[in-house]
Amino acid sequence: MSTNGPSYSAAPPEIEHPRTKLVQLLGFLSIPIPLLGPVAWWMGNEELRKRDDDDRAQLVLGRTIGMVMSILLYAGLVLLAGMWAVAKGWILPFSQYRTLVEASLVTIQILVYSFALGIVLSLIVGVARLSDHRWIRGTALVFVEFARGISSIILLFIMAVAIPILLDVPQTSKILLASIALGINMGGYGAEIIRGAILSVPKGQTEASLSLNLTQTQRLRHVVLPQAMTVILPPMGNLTIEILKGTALVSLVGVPDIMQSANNIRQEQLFNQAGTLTILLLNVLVLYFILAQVVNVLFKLWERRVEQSYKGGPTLTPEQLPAHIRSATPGVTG
Amino acid sequence: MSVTDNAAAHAAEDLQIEEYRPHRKWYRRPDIMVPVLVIVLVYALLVGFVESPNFYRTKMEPPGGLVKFDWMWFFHLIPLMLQGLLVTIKGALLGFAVAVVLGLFLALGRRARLPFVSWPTMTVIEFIRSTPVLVQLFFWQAFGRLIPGLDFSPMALLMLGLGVHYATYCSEAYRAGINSVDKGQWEAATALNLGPVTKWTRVVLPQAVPNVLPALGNYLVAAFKDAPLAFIVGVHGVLFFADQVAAETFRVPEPYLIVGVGFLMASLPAAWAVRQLERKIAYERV
Amino acid sequence: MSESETLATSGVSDSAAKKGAAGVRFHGINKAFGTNVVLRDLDLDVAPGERVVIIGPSGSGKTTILRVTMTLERPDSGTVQIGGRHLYHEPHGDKLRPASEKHISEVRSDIGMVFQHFNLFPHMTALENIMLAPMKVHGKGRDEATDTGMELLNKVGLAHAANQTPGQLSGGQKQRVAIARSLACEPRVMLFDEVTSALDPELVGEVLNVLRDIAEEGNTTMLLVTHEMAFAREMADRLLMFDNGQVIESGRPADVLDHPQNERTQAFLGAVKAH
Repeated sequence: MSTNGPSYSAAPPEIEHPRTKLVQLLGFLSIPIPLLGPVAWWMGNEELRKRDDDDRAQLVLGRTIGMVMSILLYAGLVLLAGMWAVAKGWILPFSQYRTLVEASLVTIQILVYSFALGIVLSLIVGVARLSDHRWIRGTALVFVEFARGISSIILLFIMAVAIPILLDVPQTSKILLASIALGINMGGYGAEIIRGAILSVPKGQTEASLSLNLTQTQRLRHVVLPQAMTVILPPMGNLTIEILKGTALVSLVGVPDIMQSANNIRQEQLFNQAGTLTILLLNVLVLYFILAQVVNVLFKLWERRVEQSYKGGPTLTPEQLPAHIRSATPGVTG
Repeated sequence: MSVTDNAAAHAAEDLQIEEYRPHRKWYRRPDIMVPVLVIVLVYALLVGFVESPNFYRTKMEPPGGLVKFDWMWFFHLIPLMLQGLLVTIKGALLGFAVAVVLGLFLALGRRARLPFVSWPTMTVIEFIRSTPVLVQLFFWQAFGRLIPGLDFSPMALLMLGLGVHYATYCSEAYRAGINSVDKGQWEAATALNLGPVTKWTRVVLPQAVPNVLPALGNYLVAAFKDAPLAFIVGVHGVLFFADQVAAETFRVPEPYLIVGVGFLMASLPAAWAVRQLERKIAYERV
Repeated sequence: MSESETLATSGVSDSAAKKGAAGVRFHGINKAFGTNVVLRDLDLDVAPGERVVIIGPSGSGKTTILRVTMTLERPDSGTVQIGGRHLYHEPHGDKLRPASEKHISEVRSDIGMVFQHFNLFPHMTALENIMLAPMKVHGKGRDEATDTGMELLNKVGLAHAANQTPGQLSGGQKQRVAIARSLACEPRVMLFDEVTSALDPELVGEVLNVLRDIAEEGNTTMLLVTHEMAFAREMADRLLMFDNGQVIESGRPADVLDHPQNERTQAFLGAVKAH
């Protein structure tokens, strides 16, 4: 039988890694030729991931040189791109930046209004979608279908152009009307998020709070929604960014937001015959990107806070318990 | 139990052996494929035959200035509105076709093992996703004018703007679909020693596609909702119709409201169809 | 473990070790996940056609050694040989070099594995699950693959379920299909990773019967991780007790189970029996 298998008595041959030398060579070569740095870095990492033996020193050396050279290369490229941008006039004059930032306050204002309205609508409609009464449920469903089905730009035109004429609303409250349009839009999507989150809370939780004789509102407020929070927040953050993007539409009905002020800057550019529209719009895009990232970070912080509140504080030791509880709880003082 | 005993025990079951008949995949089932084919047909008809009209001119005399809302005129606007709606639908479908293809490349770039490919792709996706499509449309228009000889038609601008914007959404859908394939499935494919092509085409993608389709459908509906926006770059869709009629007749409420109604008539069935697709395509998990 | 010991404890009759089965040799295998070391300098020889059952507490590395053999995890160091061929290395002169994916794939075709959670492809029928690898990897025609597929399904007693998808099968049936799928590649070494652990107790028997049939035919080497002690006693040629990434006891199943020498084995068996 031993003839079938390999000869097991011999010591295993030594294992050799032909790539080690290559990585080191690439690392050293990347000093005169920085383009090779990323290659050495990547290849070294791949090799290091594959193996775990004693002679890693050469590999680590080669990879580290590659890493340093790649970082230098990237820093150089960024510097070059920056200089090129300035030389090409990609950076706008300071006064125009100030105009844009001032206008972004209006955008933020609309975002805050529509967010507030959206959250309230989401909560009400999301809970109403789960109501026991058929009429409440039906009405909520109609609202959700309407808000999600209508295009936000069309809703905006109806709210800010058609409604004022039909109902004699003064034209001055355009910011408010636009916020209502965006808030309705957000409410439709938010209601579905909240409904899903409420449904995701285990049924036992509701049953337990029922057994404690909590009212329906109390159950929602103290048991269900706090637990649903971890499910609600991530999609709600994305939805808020969608609404931020939606605020760009309000310039079309004459609200002086970022886009409107970009139009004004364009007029200025044409008058001065300096600067191009492409660069201006690129800067506007970057501004929106920054705003979106701010919203993103705020929601991430909120998420972290909620998560930490779930971890709970340190467990109390019997000595830390208030005296009246200690005496009333047999065995704790034990 | 010996082999022969086992065989005897299963003799009764031998009688029930059916003829080999492949299990019907989702793409062989008429209840899924008929709607899909209908959609493709409608798509082809729309793209082929819908022309965008240059003017939306009402034949009826608009009511006098003191009337706030005139029902007769409201109904009279329906045929014109439908013309505009068809143009908008066509634009959304064309733009989304770009998005579906471009999104796949973005998803592959995002999954690349080389960080020098995946990081820039990620940044681009994040940038495009979190900036307004309105500004992007204006940007593409300005960009097109910047390069001599590159003259985008309004419809091409809509395709480009909507396509690039929704490609980033599609790429996330693709990524999520691929990630949703259970790790055990990859391991089983390795254990059977399947090659990379077989692994992807026979094991991963068939399971990823059903997960991706509903998400793609939702994004198509979303793209449809952004399509009216393209009137700013001169696409003669629903909002262009409302704008023009309002400017010519000085009657504002009726055209905008009829556009809202018409839009809901199109988007609600579409959203409903996507939900049905979602329900049908889900199959039992092991 | 020395060679003589292997032969002494294996107790495989020559007729059982047919040409098909291949031996497995692990030499100096180390594997850690982060700071958690799961295999420590493991040496192990499995003779062709031998049936080795591995027992041990959870986290002892018994599943990892199977996953290392199936190339689902790469060892940090050490060599694995299947039928005398290195799995992770290619000979280069008198030294070894890390193997190319092609070489690994070639050697890997000798190995089959059955998973705890079946991992059947949910979008294919039972028969299609079995036919996939023969058609796509071994280049067989559809007719031939259908024939062998039906033959294998018949062998595991599931010919009537050929056209059903995994979702329509019970746990025991799924596992039998998974075994048939693995057998379709005609592996020379088969790995069974707690194949009955995810099953309801009344379904365990049908799967063990199939394993007995495979053992009876004897043209594969079998490495089994299991908690079924009675089954291990009945069909193992050798029983290995794993703890802390090493083999702490090895021998005939009756010896190890009835007269464990190592105190950790005693503790483990005591716990299993009490359970």
